[in-house]
Amino acid sequence: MIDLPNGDFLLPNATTLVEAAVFLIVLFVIAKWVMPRLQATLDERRRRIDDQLGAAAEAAKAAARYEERAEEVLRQARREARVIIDRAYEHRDYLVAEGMRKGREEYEWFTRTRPDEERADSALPVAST
Amino acid sequence: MNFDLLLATGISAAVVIAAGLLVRATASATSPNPLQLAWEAVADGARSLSDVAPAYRDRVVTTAVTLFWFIVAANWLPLLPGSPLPAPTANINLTVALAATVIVLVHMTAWQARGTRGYLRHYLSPVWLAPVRLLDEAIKPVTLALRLFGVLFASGLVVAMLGVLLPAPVALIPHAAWTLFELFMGVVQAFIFALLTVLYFNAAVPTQLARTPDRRT
Repeated sequence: MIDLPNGDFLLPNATTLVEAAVFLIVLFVIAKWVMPRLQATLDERRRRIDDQLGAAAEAAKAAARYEERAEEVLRQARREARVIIDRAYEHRDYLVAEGMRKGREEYEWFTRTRPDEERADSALPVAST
Repeated sequence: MNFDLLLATGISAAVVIAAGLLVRATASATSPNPLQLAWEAVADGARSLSDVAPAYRDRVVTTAVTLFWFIVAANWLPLLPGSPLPAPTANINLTVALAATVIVLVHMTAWQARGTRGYLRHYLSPVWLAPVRLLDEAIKPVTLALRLFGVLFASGLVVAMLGVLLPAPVALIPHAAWTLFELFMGVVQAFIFALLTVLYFNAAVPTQLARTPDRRT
């Protein structure tokens, strides 16, 4: 409960000086022992946050670098795959052409008229005659 | 001497010192407890509001933080269950003491930062405005003290009137509602006092020092 008003409730008295002294003691204790520690903690947390932000930025840069490197590796792999596929196509075309050539040769070999067969044919008696 | 007031002020001071030392003992940069977070929030708020030369910023922040918690403890003291003590801030002696201390600190810091000539020039030039500036400076502690005292005193009067005008069972509900409001108001008044303190420092102390400060806190 408060002190109900009497005539001088708005006039400070000697208690004010003691109150001021009490507050100054609190201020001294807080300034001397509490705030430096609190500020040091805040500074340390800020430093940690800055460090972690720096590390995150570095990690982001590294991730970008690795991504770029992965893209480069992929491009290289695609180029090599293209070359291998092209070579495979060339090899296929060569094999097809070679097979056709050999087939044609065999065909020609089988279908050509041999000289001894021609001689045999001409030596045969004509049965009908 | 008002011994009830002195006892209540002493208890408030002890509570603030104990809380501060607890914060100091348990302070951690990685896992702060709620009490530490509350103190850090007040300190951060005061630091972000203070616009004085860096050499004096710690003094401003420390004063604002101490005032805030001291006034909160004083405002909340009668709200403790069964507390027979009045809120010391509902007595003009404490609010005048706080306001006078703040104004003395503000002017002491301004004098240190500006030097004697700069300090006098700050308040007395231009000459035709000097009376207004001096009146302004004289009114500051009065308004600072009376605002806090008036609000807390009126709040105490409301509680007293509720007890007198209403029968005990009926008065319980408005009394409980008013107590909740007083919890909130205790923090708001402490915030206003600390905020005005920072603003008075901002008005008195330059943001840049023209010379090396005499002393640092």
